[in-house]
Amino acid sequence: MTSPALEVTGLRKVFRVAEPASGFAARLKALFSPTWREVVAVKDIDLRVEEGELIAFIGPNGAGKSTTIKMLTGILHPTAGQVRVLGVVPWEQRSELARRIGTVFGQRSQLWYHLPPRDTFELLSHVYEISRADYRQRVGDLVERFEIGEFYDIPVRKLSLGQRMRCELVASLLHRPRVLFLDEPTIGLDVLARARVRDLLLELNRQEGITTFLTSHEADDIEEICRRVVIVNRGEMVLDIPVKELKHRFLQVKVIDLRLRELADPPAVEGVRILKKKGHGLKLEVDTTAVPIERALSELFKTLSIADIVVSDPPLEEIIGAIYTGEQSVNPPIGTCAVRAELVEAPAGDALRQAQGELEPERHGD
Amino acid sequence: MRSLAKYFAIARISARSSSTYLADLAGRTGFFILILFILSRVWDKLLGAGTVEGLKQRDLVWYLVFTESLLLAVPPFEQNIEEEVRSGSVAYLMIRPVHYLGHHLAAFLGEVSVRLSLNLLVGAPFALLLGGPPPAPPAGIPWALVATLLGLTLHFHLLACLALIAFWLEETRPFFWIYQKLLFTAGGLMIPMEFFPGWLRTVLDHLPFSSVLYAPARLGVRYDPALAFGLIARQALWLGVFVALSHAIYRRAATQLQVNGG
Repeated sequence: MTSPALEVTGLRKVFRVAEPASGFAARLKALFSPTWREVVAVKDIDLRVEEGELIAFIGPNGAGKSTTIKMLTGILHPTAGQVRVLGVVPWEQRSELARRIGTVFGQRSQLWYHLPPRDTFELLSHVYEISRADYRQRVGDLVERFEIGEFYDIPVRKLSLGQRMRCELVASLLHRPRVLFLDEPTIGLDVLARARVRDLLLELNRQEGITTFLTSHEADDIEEICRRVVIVNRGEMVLDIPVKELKHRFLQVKVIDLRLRELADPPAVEGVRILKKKGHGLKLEVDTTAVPIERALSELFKTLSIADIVVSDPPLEEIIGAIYTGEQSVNPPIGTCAVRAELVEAPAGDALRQAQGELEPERHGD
Repeated sequence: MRSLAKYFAIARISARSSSTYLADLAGRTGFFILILFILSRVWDKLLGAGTVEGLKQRDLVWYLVFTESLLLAVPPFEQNIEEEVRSGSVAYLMIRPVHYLGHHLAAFLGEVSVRLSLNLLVGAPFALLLGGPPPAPPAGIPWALVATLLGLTLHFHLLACLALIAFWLEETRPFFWIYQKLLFTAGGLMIPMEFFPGWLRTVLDHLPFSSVLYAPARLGVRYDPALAFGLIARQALWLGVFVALSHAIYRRAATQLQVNGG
């Protein structure tokens, strides 16, 4: 059995925060003897990521994602727990680890703003002590794969966000990292640029087997890049599941878009409700826990003259959003299961077990 | 050797980056010429053909060219450090195989080299015109260069100590303000140490400020092996103190950052 790229056991981080004092005397006193409050940012996270995995690590703002990434990259010391990234303890061997991991922080550039990307790449080749021959071969390969040749010699300040992000990725890959930490790499990019970055990351994973650890608020990124998703909330890991399964397990609703030949009202079927009705267009939502999709469709075909039909899942972002906010379902009026509500409210262990199917979700509403 | 090469690479890219701000540099140069002109006229009026401790009007014009060139060559790097501390991006620089302060020092020296060269290129003809040929013989040039490097490195570490205080204090600008004023007065920006009364000079000689500007400028004006040795030894001593202090502050700050998130 090969050793994992990341192995995390009981990871915990507690910050001490000075309580703000009110009034001059209290503030003066607090300067010398502050009152401390403990904030648990990360609660006992267990995680194992195999080499070459593409994993999304997501959660709402303040969930503990950044703190976890900082511990995995050696920036922060944990309060408790064990971490091994590529076999090393990050905060003890930070410099050694730095040569084996790559990082892209969507909101912080590592490129020199007034100079062409070429200059930053050249600098990084020295920083990572890459031999000249290896650097020339590597940068040539990456420039070609990421198609940045046409703006390789143009100052970074003149590049579009998408072009810049491709250069950021090249910069993070020059030293052939084995693990890539991507913190919102598509933030601010337009649809086309996002798709391009996603394609490149997938291609990179296929060709070089780089383990990719991604945080993003973009559901498309998660769905299209990652095979597995870990959701954290309030410092706890609430879900660790394949992306495909996330949809199936948490999606008990389907959306049906119909184009009718003749105007008519849909039949009353339990678990089916109208979302939108305009002219010959009709949009319905089916709660598959109340009625199987086949039966709902068959009822519709019996009474309606249908010119066109599309059956789809609600977008992934709705599922994730519901998990974050603790809503009872992706579409609350119909109600599907209680898992999402308890993902946030219940202790991490229960929530995780429940999410992974050990506890039966209960029906709400109807 | 490779380890050192990375810092040279940082200095090179910083120099190249700073040379892209030509309009900014040209603006500074205009201000530089104005200062030189006014102060050279003041020295002309005060000294005429006389001397103070062997320094003539010509020496003082060149002294001013050196001190002002040095001071105006220094980029506001401390603001970058402070900003990195406040925004938390200092953490992201820590995961590079390069020392944080070493990275900033290399970038600082790279940028200073461009700005200082430009200032001297502009200032030297001006001093030639107003004061005459440079007084220091060629033998003094290596000493002046060593003192310049030591003075700038000391200046960097002094400012780094102040900038790193941002880890603990909300407001650090008063410290920079005080340091700048001390450099102007006790550092000999406009008036060489020779002009101060004996007791005051003794006090100032025991402070680090004159090692930043006075030492390199003085050696650029007049070469005296004994004086050169004394000034450079004092610079080296202060540099040792502030390198140790800035690294101690950085280690403490980094530990705090690693343990408590800054």
